[in-house]
Amino acid sequence: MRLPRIRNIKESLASRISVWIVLTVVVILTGTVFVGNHYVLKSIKLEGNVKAFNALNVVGQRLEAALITVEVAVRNHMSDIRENLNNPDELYRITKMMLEDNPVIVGSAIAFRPNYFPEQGVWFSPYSYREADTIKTKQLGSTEYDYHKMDWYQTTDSLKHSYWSEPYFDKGGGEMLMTTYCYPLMDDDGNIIAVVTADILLDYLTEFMDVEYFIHAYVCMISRKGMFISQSEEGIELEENSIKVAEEAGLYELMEVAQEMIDGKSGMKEWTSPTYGESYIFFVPLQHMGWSIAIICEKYELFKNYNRAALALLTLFILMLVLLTFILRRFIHQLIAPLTEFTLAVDEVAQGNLHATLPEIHSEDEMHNLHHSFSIMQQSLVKQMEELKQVNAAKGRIEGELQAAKDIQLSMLPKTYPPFPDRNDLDIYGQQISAKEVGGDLYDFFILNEKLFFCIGDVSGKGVPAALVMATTLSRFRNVANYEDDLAKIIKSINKATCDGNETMMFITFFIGVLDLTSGSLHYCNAGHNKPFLLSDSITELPAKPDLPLGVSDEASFVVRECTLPAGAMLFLYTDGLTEAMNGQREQFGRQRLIDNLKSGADSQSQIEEMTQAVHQFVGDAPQSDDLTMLTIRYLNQNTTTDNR
Amino acid sequence: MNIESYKLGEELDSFNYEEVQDGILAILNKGCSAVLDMTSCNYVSSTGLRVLLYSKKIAASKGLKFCLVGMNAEVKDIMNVTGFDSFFDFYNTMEECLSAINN
Repeated sequence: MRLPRIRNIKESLASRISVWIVLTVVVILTGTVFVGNHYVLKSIKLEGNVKAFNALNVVGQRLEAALITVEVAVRNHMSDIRENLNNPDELYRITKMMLEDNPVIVGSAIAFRPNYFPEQGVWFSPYSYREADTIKTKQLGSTEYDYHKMDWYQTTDSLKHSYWSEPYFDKGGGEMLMTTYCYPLMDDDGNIIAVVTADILLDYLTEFMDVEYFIHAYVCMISRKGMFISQSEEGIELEENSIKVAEEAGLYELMEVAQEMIDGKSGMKEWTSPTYGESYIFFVPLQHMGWSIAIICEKYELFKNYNRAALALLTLFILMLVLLTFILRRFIHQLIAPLTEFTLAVDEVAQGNLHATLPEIHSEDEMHNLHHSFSIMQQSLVKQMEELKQVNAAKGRIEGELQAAKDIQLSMLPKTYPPFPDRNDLDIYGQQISAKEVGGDLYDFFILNEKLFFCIGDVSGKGVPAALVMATTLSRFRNVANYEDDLAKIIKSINKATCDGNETMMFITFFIGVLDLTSGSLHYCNAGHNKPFLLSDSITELPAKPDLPLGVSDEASFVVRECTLPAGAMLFLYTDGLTEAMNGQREQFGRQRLIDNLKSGADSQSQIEEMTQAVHQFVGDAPQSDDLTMLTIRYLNQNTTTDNR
Repeated sequence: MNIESYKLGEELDSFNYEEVQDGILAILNKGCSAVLDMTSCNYVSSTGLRVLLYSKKIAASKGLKFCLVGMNAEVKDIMNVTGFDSFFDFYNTMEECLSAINN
């Protein structure tokens, strides 16, 4: 069996159904994914928020913890300082101890108010600092280093409590970027005696700026005045004002963020960074120091796991679709495979093999019904073909019989011409051209006792009944005329016989004549037949008002007429098959065309042949509907010869 | 006497003779005399003539009448040629026919 070839989508039902199912699945899944995605993104964003704030808080806590150790170190030495207020030299030792106790502190001073120790002058500030691996001490105040006018001293003096200074470059002091913890030493009246300081390097704070969870994130810490204390990116100088940096870079969103940070708020902002692209900014205040810390991270970073998962899902989705398409195609193909086989079987039936094998169907579904219908069709086709064969055979037989009947009928008519070859006083010719069916036209003639008996007739109707009546009439004519020479009696006898038992009212138009060959005297009767023409000097119809046709009434009477034929005259007898011969336009040949084709002086045969030709020319291709019968009798009136019956 | 008429079409030949025959017989079988209205008819074939003959024969056997009315010249010619002109009862109009039958 031929394998079904791979077809394009329009030709293959399996492909079309698969495509529709797959499309439906795609639409449904896409819709679901779209809605689901919305919530997933939302929750990822929320989770990102939480993580970012957590990370910031962790940084803040670690930072505070580190800074508090510095504060504790300072406070721990306050009582020691008080006890040694009368012993300025001892104070150097205390500053040195602070550095020794806490390795984070890079410098420490006890900056006394002006003229606190008169013997020491306006400035007195014992100071310890680190140089290489050793700790050195010196007195810091001088005209060059007038610390009483410095920001950290004045702020502590006015605040009267401890605070972390703005970042600054300690010129003449540590010579580094630093921030300082300032702690006021007060007398009983609440006046400042000295400001105790501990310096730490901003570089040290940078260590805390490493944020977990975000790899590519920018972290920064700014002071309460907006100065950068620490940040994770190169290129921005510490000790610069963050608002100013943002303004100079034209990053106005960042200016707003910086302002909110200075105001001590916490929050989240979306921002499109020139370097990071789509980003989030999270910021929280560090309450203890009054600073604020911020992180800028790429959105991509937040969603990168999601993106990876989505890509994996999409790939999986596509693979599943391909698999689904493949399976569906195979499955549906298998389901409808019998259709292909049915097609082949039906093709085979169409080519004539009615017993083509149908595919086997084991299911109980529509295919089963189809199989059932097909097999019923097959059986009924076989049956009908069989019946058709029988009908055709029967029809053929009947047609054959009808043809035989027609042959027999024709053989009843005179067919040898000239019929009386040794007579020269008579020229006679008859012709019947049959229609397809057997018909009812008849003619006959014979000579008895030097008299020519002749007749022509037309049985009403067509077919076998007409043919039977024709045959009967013909034999009655022969029989009766053989023993009876009175024309009136002959025709009456034939009519009587025809009427007997004529239930179907078959009738015969009939013309009968007896020509005395010695005298040319003609006796004739016309029982409803077309009047014959007499061709002599002129062309005329034989005067004869027709009587009733034979078979109509057994009481009918028939007038016998008489005339004498001149020598050379010809009688032209015909049936209505001549005048009613029809052409394609349903026009009849008619009486006038008949007359036009009659020729005085022609011999019998050529007259009939000419008439036949004229009719054929007129009728053309139209089928002949009725018998065409003609009989011509030319009387020559020569010397008589022998009785030639 | 009850009389009913049957209206003939343009032709009476082998294509419609059965229908006409049945129509006329239906009238005769009801016990009515039949009048065949031939005013529209211009051709009667030999098969058609048989219908007329048969109808007349049946009518006679039942003691009824069968008449032809309004025959035109062409059909009349056919009747003349076949000798039927002396066999059937012809009337020019329905009124003539009815008064003839009733008298």
